[in-house]
Amino acid sequence: MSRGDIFIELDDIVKVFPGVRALDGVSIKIAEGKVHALCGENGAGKSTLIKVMTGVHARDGGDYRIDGKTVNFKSTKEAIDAGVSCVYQELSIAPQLDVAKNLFIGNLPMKGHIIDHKTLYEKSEEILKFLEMDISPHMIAGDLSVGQQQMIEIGRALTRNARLIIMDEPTSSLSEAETDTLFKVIKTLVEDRNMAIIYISHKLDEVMELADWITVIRDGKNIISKAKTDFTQAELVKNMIGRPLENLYMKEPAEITDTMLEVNHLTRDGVFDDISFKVRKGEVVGFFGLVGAGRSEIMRAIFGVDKYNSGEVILDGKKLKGGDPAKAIENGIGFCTEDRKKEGLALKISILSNMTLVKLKALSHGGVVDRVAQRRAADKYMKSISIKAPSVNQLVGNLSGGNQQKVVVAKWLLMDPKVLIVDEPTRGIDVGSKSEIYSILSDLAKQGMAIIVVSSEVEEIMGVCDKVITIAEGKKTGEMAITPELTREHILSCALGTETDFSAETDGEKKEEVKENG
Amino acid sequence: MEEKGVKKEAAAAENAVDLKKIQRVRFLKDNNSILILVALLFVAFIGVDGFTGSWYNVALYSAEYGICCLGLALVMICGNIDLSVGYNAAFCGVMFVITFNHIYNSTGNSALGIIVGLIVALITGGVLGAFNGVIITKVGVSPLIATIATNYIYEGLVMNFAKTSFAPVNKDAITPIAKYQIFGLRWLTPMVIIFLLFVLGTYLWMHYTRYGNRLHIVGDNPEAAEYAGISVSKTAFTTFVLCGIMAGMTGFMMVAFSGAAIYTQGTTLGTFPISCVIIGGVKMTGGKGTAVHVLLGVLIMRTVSTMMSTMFWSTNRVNLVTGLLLIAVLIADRFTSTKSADE
Repeated sequence: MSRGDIFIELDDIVKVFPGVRALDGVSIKIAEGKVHALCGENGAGKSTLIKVMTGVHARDGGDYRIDGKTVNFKSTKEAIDAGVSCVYQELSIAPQLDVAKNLFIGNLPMKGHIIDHKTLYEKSEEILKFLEMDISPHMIAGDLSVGQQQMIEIGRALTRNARLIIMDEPTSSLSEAETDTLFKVIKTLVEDRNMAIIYISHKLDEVMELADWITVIRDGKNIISKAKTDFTQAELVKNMIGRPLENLYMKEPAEITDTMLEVNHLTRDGVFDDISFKVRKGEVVGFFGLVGAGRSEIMRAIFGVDKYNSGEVILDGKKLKGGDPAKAIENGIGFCTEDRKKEGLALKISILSNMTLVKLKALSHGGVVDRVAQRRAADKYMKSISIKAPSVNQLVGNLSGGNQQKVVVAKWLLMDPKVLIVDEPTRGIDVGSKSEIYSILSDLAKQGMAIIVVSSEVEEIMGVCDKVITIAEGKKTGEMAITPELTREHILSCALGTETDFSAETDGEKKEEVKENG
Repeated sequence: MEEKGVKKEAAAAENAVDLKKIQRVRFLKDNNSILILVALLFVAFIGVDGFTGSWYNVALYSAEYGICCLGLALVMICGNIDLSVGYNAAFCGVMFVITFNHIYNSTGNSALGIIVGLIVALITGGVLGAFNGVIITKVGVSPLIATIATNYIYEGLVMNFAKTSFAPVNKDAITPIAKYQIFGLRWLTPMVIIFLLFVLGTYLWMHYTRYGNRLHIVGDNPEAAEYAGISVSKTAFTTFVLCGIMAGMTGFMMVAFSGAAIYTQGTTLGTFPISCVIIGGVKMTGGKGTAVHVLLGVLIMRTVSTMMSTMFWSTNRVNLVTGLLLIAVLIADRFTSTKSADE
């Protein structure tokens, strides 16, 4: 077969779950040697489609053919054997096994009945080299960064003689450099090895860069499917959400007043060094840097989850004692963590319980929870930030990523924080929900809250913040007001540490300058 | 762009140094039981009068209970637990004696009695292990609760057959398996060799076979295992059966060592295997550990008890010290982390 030949066809695929028609007649064709992007909001049916393709779910209707023959996969193993491999969005690394065994999971090279360790490690070295990863195959996977683990998952598909690799949000935890490498790898796979890729991402510029062909699905149906060259990004967004999105970033100017949070010379040896900045009421300050630059660690130290060696954190004129998150919460710091599933939410309990978790003390009398007050508090935020769920009793694990993130935000809003720190607020969230999260942040700033946004997306920082602080290798390399003149490249080079720019350091009163640029 | 490239290389170089360090820390952390054992032996030989004359007991007692520790380790590496090992082994001991006596009384052939008795003991252990496995992996009961319950059941079975002590009619035919000194060495008896063979076999099985390799994956990340086409429930079921069979072997060893199936040995055994397995470096949460770790764990526990019995310490003091040692190891494990900031 040669490049561009169609070898996988899905016709009118239907999948019904109790009460939902998750797929309602989706058809796509996959060609060898091409990148096929699959776009759609969360809940559009992308994940279900993948699961039908990889044998996790059985389809309820339609036809699925590989090389012209109808297939009915009963397990992921059968799909893998037929050449369909998937890199799932949720990490499926075994953290205590070494890299080589993770790469060849379920598929170890054998010599008769005995595992061929020599081949195992040699082949692993090759794959790591191909992925441009400078690590030993003997490393324990749990000791690697999240980005490296993600690359291992991609490497896993390479060990399986896959003809089609499905990548579900592969860059959501990769740094910019790692993303570059991944793109290079994808291009090699497609061009030199004639592999087909299904690429799923919420980052539309990635889709526009990589894809040969784009299919948009919405509400379980095909909306449009055509060559990338016939698409514009605006058209893509319009098709995904079903209406034109006027402005993704709805930052309205807020009145910026007194200093709320002041951080002076904060240092944690080997992690970050001499970090000073101020956040004022009504101000949104962005923290930008590469993954691993120390942004999240600084926030964790301010919040008290991590300790720091020297420096001070002053909240509303009061010096905070470090290392005590309970005190920080009490004093008015809210912290929406980066990994909402691991650190921010209990997935197996209800929206109600999650939301009122930190507030429980205030909602109870003498140790007994006031159920009515709890319900009232949760209902209020269900409405005000429009969490889409049948009721507050819904389990958080059943919500979409965007709605989960809103629950995290609501949890902290219940505390009436003076400072709200949000770390990667829109990771893995679709365009529609992103826009809603941004407008929530904008509203909060207008109400006078001081907000810190940590993000690895420059566009996000430029869209929602009043000013940006760049961090490179644990050091502050810039503090700039977001103005129309400020370029993406300038912020990036500060974050890489190749330039510095402290033009917006707020030691004096520079209110007007900042306010105008909202 | 060029600057970015240079930067990347520099970062990569720094990264590489860090990774080396992580690997070193990781090695020490994963194999700290060697250090503990060496330190203990050092203290024992230097500081405890009479240990030079009594240390062979470490080998003998390790071999007596060691095999069921291996079995338990398989279950724990898969992320489960089996608290019924003690009475499973005790019941298998009883079954061995019943079978042996029956055959010896009717044929007078003790070798045949031993062989058939051993087979019956292993099958009994395997069946009891499979019973655990079905309740846990098919019905879906939590392993902790399921095996607490089955431990009671197996205890009931033992009491049904043996009131306090239940001896083979011709125990002199059996005890040499535990007592005969090969090359006149007090520490080297057939029982010790059998134990070491089990350690070696388990190690090789887990290292070289595809099935044995599954255990770590299943215990570490069951979801990843399922997506890779590995059946979590089948693998877990297998470990319960193997654990049962090894408990059966231990039942036989206990009879050989003490010359009788003793009812209270189910209780004596109790949580001892769990302590050995954990102190050796197998993780309670699964995914980590090898047969060698179990061997080290058993040796550590037995060195401690031999040391103290050499000093004529009472059992309650021995238990106290053993418990403290276990906690110390777990604390040390918490504080040696390969990741600094985010754990």
